[in-house]
Amino acid sequence: MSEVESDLPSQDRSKTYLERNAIILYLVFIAFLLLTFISKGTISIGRSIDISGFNVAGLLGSLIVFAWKFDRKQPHISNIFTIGLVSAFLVLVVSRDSANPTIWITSILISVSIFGLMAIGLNLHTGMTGMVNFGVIFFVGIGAVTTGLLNSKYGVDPWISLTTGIVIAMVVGYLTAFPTIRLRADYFAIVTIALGEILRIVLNVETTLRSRTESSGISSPGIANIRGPWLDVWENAFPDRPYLVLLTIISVSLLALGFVLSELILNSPFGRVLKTIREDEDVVQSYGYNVFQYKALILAIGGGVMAAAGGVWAWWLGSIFPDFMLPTSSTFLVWAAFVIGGKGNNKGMIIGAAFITYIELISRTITPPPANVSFRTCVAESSFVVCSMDVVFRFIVLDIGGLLFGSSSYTTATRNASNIHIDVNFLRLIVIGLIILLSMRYFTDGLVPEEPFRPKIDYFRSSTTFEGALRCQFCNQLNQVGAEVCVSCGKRIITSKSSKE
Amino acid sequence: MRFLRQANHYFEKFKGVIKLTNILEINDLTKRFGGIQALDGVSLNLNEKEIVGLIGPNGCGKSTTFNVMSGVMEGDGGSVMLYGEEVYGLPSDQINRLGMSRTYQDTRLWRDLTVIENLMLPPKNQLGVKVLNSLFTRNRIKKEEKEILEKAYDTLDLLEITHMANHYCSELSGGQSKLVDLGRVLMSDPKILLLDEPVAGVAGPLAEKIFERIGTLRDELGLSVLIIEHNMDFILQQGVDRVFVMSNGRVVVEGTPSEIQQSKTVIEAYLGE
Repeated sequence: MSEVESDLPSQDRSKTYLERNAIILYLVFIAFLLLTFISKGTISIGRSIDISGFNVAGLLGSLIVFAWKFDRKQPHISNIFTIGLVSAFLVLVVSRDSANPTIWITSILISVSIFGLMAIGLNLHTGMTGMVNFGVIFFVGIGAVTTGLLNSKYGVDPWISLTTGIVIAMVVGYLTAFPTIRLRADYFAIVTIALGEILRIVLNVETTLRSRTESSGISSPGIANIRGPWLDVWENAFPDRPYLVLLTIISVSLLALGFVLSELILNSPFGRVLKTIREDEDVVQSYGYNVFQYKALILAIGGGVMAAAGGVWAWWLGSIFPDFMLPTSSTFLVWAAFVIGGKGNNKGMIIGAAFITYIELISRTITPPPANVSFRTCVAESSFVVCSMDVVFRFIVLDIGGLLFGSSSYTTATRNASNIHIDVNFLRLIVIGLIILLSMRYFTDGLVPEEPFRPKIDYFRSSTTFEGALRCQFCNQLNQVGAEVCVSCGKRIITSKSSKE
Repeated sequence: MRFLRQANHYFEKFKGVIKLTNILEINDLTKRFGGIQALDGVSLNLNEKEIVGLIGPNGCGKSTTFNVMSGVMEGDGGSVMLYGEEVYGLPSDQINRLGMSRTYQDTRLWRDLTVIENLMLPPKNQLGVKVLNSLFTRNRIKKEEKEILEKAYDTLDLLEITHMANHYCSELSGGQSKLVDLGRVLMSDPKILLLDEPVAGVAGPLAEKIFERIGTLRDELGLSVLIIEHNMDFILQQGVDRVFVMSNGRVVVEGTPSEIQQSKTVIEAYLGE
């Protein structure tokens, strides 16, 4: 029996390690439940984050626990996990109460689509082909600028502008392969960072790209008045509904299109060549494949997908400024989605994009707690729990944050300043950095890891492993020689040629 | 590309009309790494349906010879004639398409892919490796994939590692990796096979079986095989037709196994003077 055990796949060997992590997450989940119970569901941190968000985080945690019990590298488990995560996200979106739910939900879905498309493009470049691309924003920028410029300056139809943007990005992607053919991982990454920065700085100084603001008389960099597709048609047909609804439908269908394209590529022989290039390109070349051609093609295709994301972004924002190309607000977020979701798996890209969108939204809606709260004043307040959490939060954000990012901490600088405005935007980057770090440490393969290629065949052929036994290749079960079906999984046995001899 | 077509044309022409004997001929191959002369005018030849061994002590330039002749590494000079055509300096993919496949000493499998996926890449002229085909001719590709899958399983059966088909290559042991590597190179339907230590780390009986199998493949498919082997005694017992002995970047002796066994130069090369 010992031989059977030593032959088990590695995911089974590391089960205990995964289970330990699952228990920790489960405890966190129970802690959230207790917290909700104590506060009777009314807790808020910093008076802005609703506790229902934590409930859903707990739900996500339990889903992870659930998924960890299985081999997540199996396609059907990966599907269940994806459906679970996406539905949890939708619950989260719907449960958020807001003054205007339509705007809230549409903007979340558009944001997920845009980041999802970018992550799928990145997956084509980095997850499948192994070309580390830190210049996602380069291709996105080409798409956004072309779409915006053609539409707002020359009045071209939005769809034609978007198509032009995609085609330009594809051509540029193909051409990018020529100077970078000999560059491996890190060096290619440096080139792509440079490309993104070049485009941003050009956008900053190039006068063609400046929008004209008549009232102030000063032209500022950026492109304004970008109109989305079928804007007039929508406004005539549904005057009382916001245009965002149509844009949501368009962007979600573009995401679906990008997903299908990427899945087709991933599961085809073409995708197999790409994956082998990721593993060892010299060997692929010596098996008769022109590696350069494949790299150039996938740079073009991925660039096109990213450019589509850029075009939708331009439609959504209505006007684009060079700021949107700062790496901290785009490329790094896409990379976080890529790392969290699981490289090499397109479903993971969408999950990662949803994750990032949620963090982005939290960090945008968060407000600093009042500066004058303390445990002493909390005793008098109606809700002691809410108030004391404010105190802790204030300590973390203001005092520790102040020490790290300012010349002095908040409390030492001033004793009584309830109206000081403090920008908590940096929290977003801290949280995202932390998530990337934890994800690298504990989920090396991401939430939904790459699915291995294990083609189904309805029979198994097994060679004799040792005297008098046949091993099933599907379940590792040892069978008697001459058996017709596997004892464990019931698959038909065809004895191999070599054992017949 | 034009040259490639031309070479293919010659190959097709020669195959029917003339019986080529000397299908691979290497003359005066040189390669220098900084101050080390790795190859100092290596000359080899390989006849059709022949198994030739290339042996020599550590660091004598066996693997470098393979790297330069298969186009993986740039050489400093020389000539490589494949079916009477100069292929020296061509990229490795074009040389492979002319029918010469090679393995690597450290196997270099695609580690994060399954064994079966490793085996399904090398077959030549696959429809689906073109991006447009992979998007628009799904049914034909499915059929083709099925054939390749069957062939891959046959190859695994041959090497007795069918039970590892769905495992990751990173989970294989050293000997199993060697077998998968051999399977991978057989999947590419080569005419000329360059094997870099194919049985290093493979258990004795299986190693002998592999050599036996290479012999039958030679007879069945008309393969010509050039094998690097470190273990001189082993290769001399395995029924190779000729052996080249290398030392310090040169071929010092050429001959049949019995000649090699009696040669003083070989003993000097291995043991020093």
